[in-house]
Amino acid sequence: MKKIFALLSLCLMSYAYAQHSIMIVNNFSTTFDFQGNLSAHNYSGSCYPYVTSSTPTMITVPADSHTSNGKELAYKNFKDQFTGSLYPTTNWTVQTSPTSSTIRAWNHPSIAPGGVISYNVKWASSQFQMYYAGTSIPEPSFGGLIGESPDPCTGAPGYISTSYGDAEWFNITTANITYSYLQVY
Amino acid sequence: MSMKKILTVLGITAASFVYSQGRIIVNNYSKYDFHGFLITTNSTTGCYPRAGNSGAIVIPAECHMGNGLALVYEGYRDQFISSLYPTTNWEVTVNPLTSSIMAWDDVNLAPVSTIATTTKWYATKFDMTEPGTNISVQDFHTNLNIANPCSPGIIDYYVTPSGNNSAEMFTIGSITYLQLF
Repeated sequence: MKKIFALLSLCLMSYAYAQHSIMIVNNFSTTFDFQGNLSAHNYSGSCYPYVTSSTPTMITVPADSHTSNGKELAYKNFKDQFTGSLYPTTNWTVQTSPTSSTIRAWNHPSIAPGGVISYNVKWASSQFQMYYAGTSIPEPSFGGLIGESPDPCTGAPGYISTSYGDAEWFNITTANITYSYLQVY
Repeated sequence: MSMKKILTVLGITAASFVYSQGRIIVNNYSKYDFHGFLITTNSTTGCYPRAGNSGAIVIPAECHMGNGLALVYEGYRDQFISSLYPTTNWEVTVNPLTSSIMAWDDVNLAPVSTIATTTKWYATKFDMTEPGTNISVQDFHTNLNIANPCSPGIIDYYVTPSGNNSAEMFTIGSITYLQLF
């Protein structure tokens, strides 16, 4: 009986300890700061759980901040980003159904890596607005919702092209780790 | 362990996805013991049949998927063999006037039975206690239910007035989760 427990535990743990994708935001623009939120959600069946950064309301990634100079935004998961990222998120809004919404701190066990919510979601989209670097002046035509496309949960396009610059969202999987990239040029 | 047993266990695991009752997983991340009831109701219409454990289930403090000590119920019957916290008897209500106590291996609760195939985990009633005791933790007790055809209201989140503890209930796919913090 002990062995059966062990086997079942192994079955459970094998999916409990997987990791959702790693989020990278590269702002290659030298003219604009990026300000936006980041959302992750379930991709199998329903859109829930649905997790969105909520404090700060907008995460700022300054102009010319990207992997080439080590200033990119990199979120390993909802928790570790707080200590590991240059642009930490303090609180996340967690929707477990269309009618249920809760704000969780970065270190709450509900969204910890290895937990069921973290495991079942993948980075999906960002609502963003570009601002002239170092100012609070937005460029109204350079912003919007962008994300993995197609995605019935968000309806976000994967590419936004404006006369001020472009934004793109794509995934790359290497060594069994999926990276979600949001890049602004 | 023989290959036959491994296949049986894997078979049970696989079969659990087939039936609508689904699986329930309870993660107790809190520092208190969970004393409670896990309840099913008709998954498509009305409130019957419905079933819940007879006699409280106790899940000790800090028992969850992270350390392999979560409560996992694959169904009324199979939980008795596979769960760390087996329920021996279920209280089954088939209509407003008829309820009965059925043992875990009652044929009417088998995975292919009408009761198992027409019900789904949807509610809990619980009381949290100091570890290893029956001393209730102030304010950390409630009822929760997710969306279901029986009762219109959804109460799937609870936080104690102090904000120190909370509980959430939700589904992902065919699995219902109850988590205590």
